[in-house]
Amino acid sequence: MIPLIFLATILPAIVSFSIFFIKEKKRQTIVALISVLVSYFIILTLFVTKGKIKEFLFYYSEKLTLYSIPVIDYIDGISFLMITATAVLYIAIIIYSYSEIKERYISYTILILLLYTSLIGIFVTETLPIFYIYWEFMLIPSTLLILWWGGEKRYRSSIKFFLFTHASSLLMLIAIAILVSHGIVLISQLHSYKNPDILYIMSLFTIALLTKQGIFPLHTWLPDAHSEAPTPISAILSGIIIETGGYTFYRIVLSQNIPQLLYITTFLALLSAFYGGILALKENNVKRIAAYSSISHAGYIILGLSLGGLGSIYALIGGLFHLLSHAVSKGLFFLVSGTVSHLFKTKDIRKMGLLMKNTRFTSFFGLISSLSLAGVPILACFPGEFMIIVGGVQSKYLEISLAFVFVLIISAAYALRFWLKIFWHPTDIMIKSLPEETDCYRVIGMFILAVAIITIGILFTIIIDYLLIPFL
Amino acid sequence: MDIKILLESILFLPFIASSLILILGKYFKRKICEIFSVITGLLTFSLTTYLVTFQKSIKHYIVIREFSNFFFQLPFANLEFFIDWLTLVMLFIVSLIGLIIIIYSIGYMHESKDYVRYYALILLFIFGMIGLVISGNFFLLYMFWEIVGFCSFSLIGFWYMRPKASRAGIKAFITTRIGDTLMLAGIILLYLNTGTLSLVELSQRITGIPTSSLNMILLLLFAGSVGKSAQFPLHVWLPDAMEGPTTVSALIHAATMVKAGVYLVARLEILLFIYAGLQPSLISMFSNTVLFIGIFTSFLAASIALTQYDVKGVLAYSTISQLGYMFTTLGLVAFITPSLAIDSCVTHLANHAIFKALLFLAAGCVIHSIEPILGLEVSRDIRYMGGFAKKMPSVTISFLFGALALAGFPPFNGFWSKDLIMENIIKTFEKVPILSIIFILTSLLSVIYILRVTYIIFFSKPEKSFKIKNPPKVMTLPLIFLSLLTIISPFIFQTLFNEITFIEIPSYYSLTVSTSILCIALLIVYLLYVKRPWQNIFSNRFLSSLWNILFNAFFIDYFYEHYALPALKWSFTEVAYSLDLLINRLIENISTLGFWLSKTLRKTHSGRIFTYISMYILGLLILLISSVIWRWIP
Amino acid sequence: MNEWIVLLEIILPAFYGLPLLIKEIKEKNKEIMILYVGILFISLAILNIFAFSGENKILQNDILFEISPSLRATLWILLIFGFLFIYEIIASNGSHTKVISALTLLSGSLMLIYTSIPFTNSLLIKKSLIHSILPLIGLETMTISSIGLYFYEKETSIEALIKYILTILISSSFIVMGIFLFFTETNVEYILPVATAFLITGISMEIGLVPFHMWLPDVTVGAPSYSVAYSILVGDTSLILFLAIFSVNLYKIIHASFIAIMVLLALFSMSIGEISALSQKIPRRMLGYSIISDAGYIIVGVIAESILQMTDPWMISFFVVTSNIAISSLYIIFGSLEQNNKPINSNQLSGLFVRQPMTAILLSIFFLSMAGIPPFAGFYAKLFILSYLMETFEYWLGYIAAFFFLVCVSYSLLIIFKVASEGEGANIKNKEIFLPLYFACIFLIVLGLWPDLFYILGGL
Repeated sequence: MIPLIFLATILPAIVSFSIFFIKEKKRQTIVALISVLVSYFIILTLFVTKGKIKEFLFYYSEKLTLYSIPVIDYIDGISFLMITATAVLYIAIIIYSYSEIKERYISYTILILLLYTSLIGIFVTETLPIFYIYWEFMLIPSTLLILWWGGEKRYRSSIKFFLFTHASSLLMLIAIAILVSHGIVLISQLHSYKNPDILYIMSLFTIALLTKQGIFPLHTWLPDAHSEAPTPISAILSGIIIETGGYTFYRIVLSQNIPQLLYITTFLALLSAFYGGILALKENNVKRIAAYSSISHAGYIILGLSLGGLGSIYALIGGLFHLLSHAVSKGLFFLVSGTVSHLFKTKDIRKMGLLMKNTRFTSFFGLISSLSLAGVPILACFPGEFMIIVGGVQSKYLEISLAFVFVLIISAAYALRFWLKIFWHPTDIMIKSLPEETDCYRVIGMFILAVAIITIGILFTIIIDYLLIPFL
Repeated sequence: MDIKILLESILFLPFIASSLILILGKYFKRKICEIFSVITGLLTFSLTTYLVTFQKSIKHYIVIREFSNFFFQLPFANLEFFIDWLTLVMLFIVSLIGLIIIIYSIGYMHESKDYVRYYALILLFIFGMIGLVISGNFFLLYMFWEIVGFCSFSLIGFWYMRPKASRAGIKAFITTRIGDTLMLAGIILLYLNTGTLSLVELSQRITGIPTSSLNMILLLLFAGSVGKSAQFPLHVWLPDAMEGPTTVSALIHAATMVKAGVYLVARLEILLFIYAGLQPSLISMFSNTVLFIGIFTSFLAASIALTQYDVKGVLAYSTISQLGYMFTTLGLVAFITPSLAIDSCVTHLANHAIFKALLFLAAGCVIHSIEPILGLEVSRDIRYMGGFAKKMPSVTISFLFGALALAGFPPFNGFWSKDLIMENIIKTFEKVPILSIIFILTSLLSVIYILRVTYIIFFSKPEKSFKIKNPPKVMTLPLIFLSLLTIISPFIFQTLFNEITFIEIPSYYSLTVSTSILCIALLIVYLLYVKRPWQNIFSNRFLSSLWNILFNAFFIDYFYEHYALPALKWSFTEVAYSLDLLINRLIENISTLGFWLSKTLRKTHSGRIFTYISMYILGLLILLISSVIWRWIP
Repeated sequence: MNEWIVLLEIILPAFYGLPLLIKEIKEKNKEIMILYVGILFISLAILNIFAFSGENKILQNDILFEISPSLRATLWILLIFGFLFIYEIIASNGSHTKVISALTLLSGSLMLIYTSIPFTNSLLIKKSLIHSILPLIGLETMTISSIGLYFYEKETSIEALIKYILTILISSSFIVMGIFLFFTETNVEYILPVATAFLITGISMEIGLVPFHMWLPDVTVGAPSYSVAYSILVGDTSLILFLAIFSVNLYKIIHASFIAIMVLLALFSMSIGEISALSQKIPRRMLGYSIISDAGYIIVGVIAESILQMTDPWMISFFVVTSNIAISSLYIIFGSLEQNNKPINSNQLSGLFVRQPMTAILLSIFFLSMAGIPPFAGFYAKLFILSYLMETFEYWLGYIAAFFFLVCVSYSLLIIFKVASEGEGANIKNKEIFLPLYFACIFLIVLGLWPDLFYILGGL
């Protein structure tokens, strides 16, 4: 039967080449939107009809290496969760960037669609070398996107972004090479790998994944890359590209039980949650606040996952759920901060204020996103955080949960500060005139994400029961 | 009408009304909004009175488990109600005061344009408070707790244009949030030890928890109520919360929201002692801390209230000290029988709600009238007020009634509950003498500061008298109704709720002590403020420095603002910032190191051919020796 | 294997170039010369297929020419890309002498490839002079013809040429010494290690291992770019394969200490090559240094394969083919960007993407493949090498290799980002050079996505 999953991943890339020939800007966005929707629709029907499926495509290299490397795609609840997050974010981004990106729109859409293929590829492949190919292929379009449409210091931050993530993923290349040389090629075969240096390989994987996720000691690329990237790209960057680190951490590292490694990751996650939160509290550049809050939320995710690895199911579900909710709410947070910095023509939060008066929609979306990041009950991030706390206490790590509760206060502080300083308080430095509401495309883009946040926040029990629990 | 539908309607009516006003408010005139919200207030009040009067048949408590909808399939989060006499009392107070406040605020918010947002938030607050009071499990209680917190934050910062108001809003939100997160930790611990959060199952399983962790859980929950009811460490936000409109201060910061903390501790104590039948001595650590914090806060607040010039500031500190009374009675559980302690606390709670609302609304009238002349900032300062008795006789009478009720003069409701507390405190005189001494001192101070304020505002000679218009009928009528209530409220409550003793003839001993306190206090006020015989009494060094300390609220707020918070902030941000700098510098250095290394390497590469050839020979030698060397090494 | 046809296949390119010397073909324009060379390569391909299908006849009593599948795959690629790069030489109006020397170079490398396996067999089992002489002849023809290839009037290239001549003279003398030492009859047991030492030094001088690497950057900058590209692809590949085949039984002859020293030298060459490439201003010199570091990887890979006793060097051939194609095409692009043959500076490259998107895309693809970024063949080569290293040595060598991959990525990234940024820079002179580069780029992408193609080529 035709390889549907592979078709769904490759479709946007193929469509992106056809965009060369479409002249009119509006039609290009429509084509891009349709390709994303079609590829998501295929995966949706596949998942709904058959649930967990595996699909063999062809042999990547039959004879060359000592072991043949088959290319296998698969979908289960968690990868479907991530694909929905990517699809939702992409629809919002494409609409948002229709009015945000002015010059060289064709190459912009092509790069975005290539990025989409690589992202879906990561959530779908099972063979390790192919996973690595998608993992690295994700890097090229995102670096170019930062380089050509970024802010002032884009040249330096894009090089730093590429080198940092590439260096760490080289370590992953070594780990994959070791596994390949021992004959382990598929992620599902991982748990059959028994000899003692598994801790060694898994620590290599963790370093690569934690750099991608932006955890404390390895996060320096994140603030520069996010604050220099154009708004829709930083929304994708912090929404989805960071989550791939967490997702793969669940897929690969949690398939083995290596408690010593998980203790370290819990500690690092907690540290980066603190670190990100505090720096977000202090930062004055709007985009850097969002970037530091991504570091802090990356800490939540890894904390949840590693506590899950250490035994508490609640924390695992919380961590996985937070992947989805963080993608959506951080995406909206970045879009709002981008629109705000566009309206006020500056990124400095001190020069902003009283936006509530005439931009009703943006302030409403700002409220939704910052409250969701602060962990207010009916919005997206609350269930994840709540379960991580309960999970932490359930697996007898009471002090971790208490520290995590304290981090929640900090996250509430910087989310509230962001919202109040920009929308409620008068500006510290006098400005000539208050800006008007942004154009409709940006509002639609943000509206989609706001709706997604609220639905996820309310229907979290359904998502957990149908997407997470059966596939844990 | 079945009790399930009744409760749902009482709970969701304000919520629907507030959302309707919020969405459709813009399109209707102000009149329609006001009438609509008054109707909802009236409806909720009548439904509660119906519930209270005709549901006499409840023996202990009723539990109604709502449809287990697919919303909350998690075990601890199903929608359920828990009704017993404490809930009924709180419901009655909340709806009564809510109704009066809505009627009063028609007059008070007449000029402000944002009336839509105001009425929506007030109704949302009432919904939150009702939900909090009738919720059947701690998860639901915590949800409504957050909603009430949010409403208080948005109402304090109602005039968000003024930076002072919105900063006070944030301060209130963050301090209560600290208390709430500790409470959340307590709820989680409770869930993990007992496996459920619903009150009914808890009453069976709570005795199973080991005493040490039970004390820990109760303390964490008490931290939440300390945050919400502004007790000692977290009391700094209430005086600043007076930036909001006076009706908000009356409803939220005097009558209902600050009582939520007292309600939570009372609910815990009922659950533990009456339903679960636990021995009070087991949780002595918890009850002693409650007692100590209650007593200490009441004394502290009463002494500060003496020196305040802002009329709402005085009333705010008096609320803190009255809440301190309630917590002390709850803390006396280890000394006297639990049911007696809870009864005295609830009676004082009921009476305090009424006369404190009365005082705030009367002060509101005064401020409302002189605001257009003196401007917002100054209109609350009592030094500019004086001689209002002649200008607004009805307001003066109602303020006087409230003041006398607070002081504890016989015919008013304050007298009954204060004497009840006095009796309980004196019973513990043998065991812990210091307790009753401090209590007597605080009641003395409370009488002084309330009489001082009434005298300065209404009866003292004003420096310059300015013409003020009389407050509209719609504001004075609720005042008169409330002042009537201060006299007859204990009798009404006694008829409605016969489980609790609202009216109880105080013992001879406590009666003499309270009357002597009243006389001494009258004398002091007369001397200090009316006659002023020793003019230079405040000039000598000791008294003036004491007065200064009291005026600045023992510099606690100053300490928080200028030392604790900046130190905390600095310690975090500097550490994090330097760490961030360190790592960035490290990365940059590595790259510069790389480039320096490559530059030095390039220098070694001279262009001359002879170096090349010598390198070839050197390489050959290395390889030759290494290929042959193995024969000689062993 | 029909040895007659193989012999014809080896000799044909050398003699095919001679008619070019006649006057009237010289003046004719490029199309005829390309056509002429095209016919040669087609005939070579046909001969290659026939050599296998027919029954095997033997010239002498023992087999002279032998080839394994991996060598066949590299042979095919050499033929295809040999034609493409000769097309480049003609396109960038190189003189006819260059074409002739290129063809002789091709015949030399064919000779070397075909005779490397008999040489290694005869080395241990039965020493016969003929088997040792043939690879030597192939080697010498290659070196002499590359001198003709590198010749250019400009004085800097003359200086580079002299250095090159000196180096290859010394290296071939070492190789000759090594080979004859192998075939002496005296049975002193230390003679074999000394012979291997001589042979290994000779070959590593050609490849550019550390102590012998000095000449490589100067020659790659001095000589004309198209000739450097051609000689790297055709010359070095066959040489490295000869080393790989020869080193299979290296393990039996000499002791572990020699291997340790070789690994050490390889590490040195990796580090010096990569790090000094970082701060180069001239891209062509940077590529020279990256060739040195590739030599390091190759030596380590060769040793790993010899330890694993892989008679058929699949991994080394795959790595050499991919990296050499990438580097030589980069040389072609940089050569075409130059004005009057002065090597361009790296900031002349800036803004190339805006002015000529196609060249910039090709440039970045070749750089990414050389650096080993996934969708291109370079990634699979690196994964191949790493898994072999992990298999044989402990993990530390894998780490060092990965670190140097990173350094390689960083300097290739510097160039790509400079190309992608704004600014004024050089333009490409002639457009004809693009056809082979498109083919090379597509070949790299296809090989990257489906590495089994290399295996199928082997079996053809």
